Amino acid sequence: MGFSAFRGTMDLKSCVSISVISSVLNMILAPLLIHVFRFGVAGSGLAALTCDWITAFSYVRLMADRRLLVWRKLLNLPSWKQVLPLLKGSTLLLRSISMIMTQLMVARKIQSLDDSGVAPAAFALAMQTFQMGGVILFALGTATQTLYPNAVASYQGEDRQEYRRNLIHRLMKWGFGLGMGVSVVQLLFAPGILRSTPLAQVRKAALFPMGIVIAFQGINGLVSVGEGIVIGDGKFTRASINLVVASLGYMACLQLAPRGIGINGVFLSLVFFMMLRFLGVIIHLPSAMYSGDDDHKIETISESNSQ
Amino acid sequence: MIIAESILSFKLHSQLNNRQEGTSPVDTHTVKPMGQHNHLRLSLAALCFSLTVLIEGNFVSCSDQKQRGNPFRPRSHVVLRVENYHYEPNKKNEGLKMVLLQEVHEETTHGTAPEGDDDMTNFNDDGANPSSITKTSIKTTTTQLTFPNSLWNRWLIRLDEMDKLIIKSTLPLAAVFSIIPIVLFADLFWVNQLGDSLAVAGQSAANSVYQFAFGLLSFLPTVTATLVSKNHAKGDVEGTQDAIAQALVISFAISLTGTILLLSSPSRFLSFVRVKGKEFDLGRAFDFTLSVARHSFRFSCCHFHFQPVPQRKLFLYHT
Repeated sequence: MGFSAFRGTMDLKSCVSISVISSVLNMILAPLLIHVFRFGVAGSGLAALTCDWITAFSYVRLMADRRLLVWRKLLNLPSWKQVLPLLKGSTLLLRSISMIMTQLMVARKIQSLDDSGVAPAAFALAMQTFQMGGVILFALGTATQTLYPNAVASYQGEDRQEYRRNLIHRLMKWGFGLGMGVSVVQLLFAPGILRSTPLAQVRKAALFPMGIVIAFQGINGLVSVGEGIVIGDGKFTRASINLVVASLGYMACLQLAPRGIGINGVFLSLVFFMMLRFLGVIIHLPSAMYSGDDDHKIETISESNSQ
Repeated sequence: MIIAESILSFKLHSQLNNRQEGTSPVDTHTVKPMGQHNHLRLSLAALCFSLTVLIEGNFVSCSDQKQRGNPFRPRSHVVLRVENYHYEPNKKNEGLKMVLLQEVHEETTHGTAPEGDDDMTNFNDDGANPSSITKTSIKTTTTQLTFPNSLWNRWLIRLDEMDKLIIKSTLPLAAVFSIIPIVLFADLFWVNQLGDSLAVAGQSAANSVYQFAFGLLSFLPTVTATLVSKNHAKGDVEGTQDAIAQALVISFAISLTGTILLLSSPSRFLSFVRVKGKEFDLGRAFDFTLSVARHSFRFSCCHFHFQPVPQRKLFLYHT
């Protein structure tokens, strides 16, 4: 929560500092507790727990110092109107549940494909390729969630609409451009990733999945930014519906894909999943760029918060 | 809190060691007969924790010393408004020419005005210093620079203030998200050094359940960030404080509920990571999750944490 609060105020320096310090402490404490103090595996959890406590303490202290957190407001029960925006945002819970269920279904499907372990190994290689550089697209999407409303709110009236359109265009360009850049990087590292396994069967099975993952990073970038804009606009329900529909499509494809295709069917379903999400983004963007009703909604949310 | 956790760990280990039966060479590495050594270990561990908390607290206070005691003052001085930004190609193809017409910097400080500072300061009609002062400086610059027509420079000077804003927002988050897999890998490495595959499996299962539980709560930070950003951009101090306080209260309530659910029936949550048709010792997972939950009944700022302990070294115990 502290991380989000500082993200919302665009103070990313504090977030990065605290995260880095906490991570370094975790890496120092873990071997000490596991091996030196001989807590065993429990030491790993103790180290992580301690670092989490330290992070929480740091965030709370910083927020209190900067008057972002006022203690008396914690003791006052919020009114229904004040809680309403947060509860509306709870529709994002559907989004989280969809992602989790999708990951579970994919994991179960992969495990059920064969007993030799080739499919899971090929899947692991493809996901390793996906994660290389994919973190920057995820970061761009997350940054958009706060950057977009922050920048747009600083304008008023007609300037707001024009700036909103320019910003959306620019963000989508960055999403696509970064996605293509990540594709190039992944393509360069693909031979190295394939060589990480000595089994020729696994390499052969991983070729198509890796190709799919590399080819669709541009779309992935557009989707990350587009969904960040949808969330930044306060359209939490729409974002959730978009992902729920895409997840249902993904799971339907997984069930319908012929068993003979094997792991390729899973990744063709992934393509369908990404295209459904992209379609959802395209449907929302014109309303974000050209309607003026959103200004009234933004004002309403902030007024209900201030009451 | 940390001392209480150490005491809990102490209790747990004493119960473990009282009930252990038959140890393998691997087991002796992680579980030792109870003795004075464990008291010393726990005391040293508690001292370690206290020192880390003090160091971190000191760092935080030093880095933010200027802010302490001051009223609400946003740290961010990012230029959010960008006007009249463009570049134009030079007709003679000597290179690209950058023309920057105007930048608007808005810097808002709240507090009493320093003495003698009369420039751009708003005073009340009776001349008294107000409780809040807004300083706005408008800088107008016209700059023309010509760059050689190389590919890198052509790309670089195409980045205007809006692009820089996007980069400044994205890169720190990319750094933070990159650290997480490194930390997880380091954790996994040290657990692997124990030489016990059950330990790794237990940690992996606990991580899966933790990720599942955390994913259920992950909507709150997203909503909070959006609400805070909207209120903060408008300079609405009360709205920002309200959004943060409400988010903390709600997440506290939800995480407390989640902790109670985990403590009451951990096997239900572990069943999520079981794959149909594959061997998975649910009994082992149940035991370690039980110990995990009893190790970590607390939660840190609205999420709960697991400490995996291999089941083989544990027995069902009752507190």
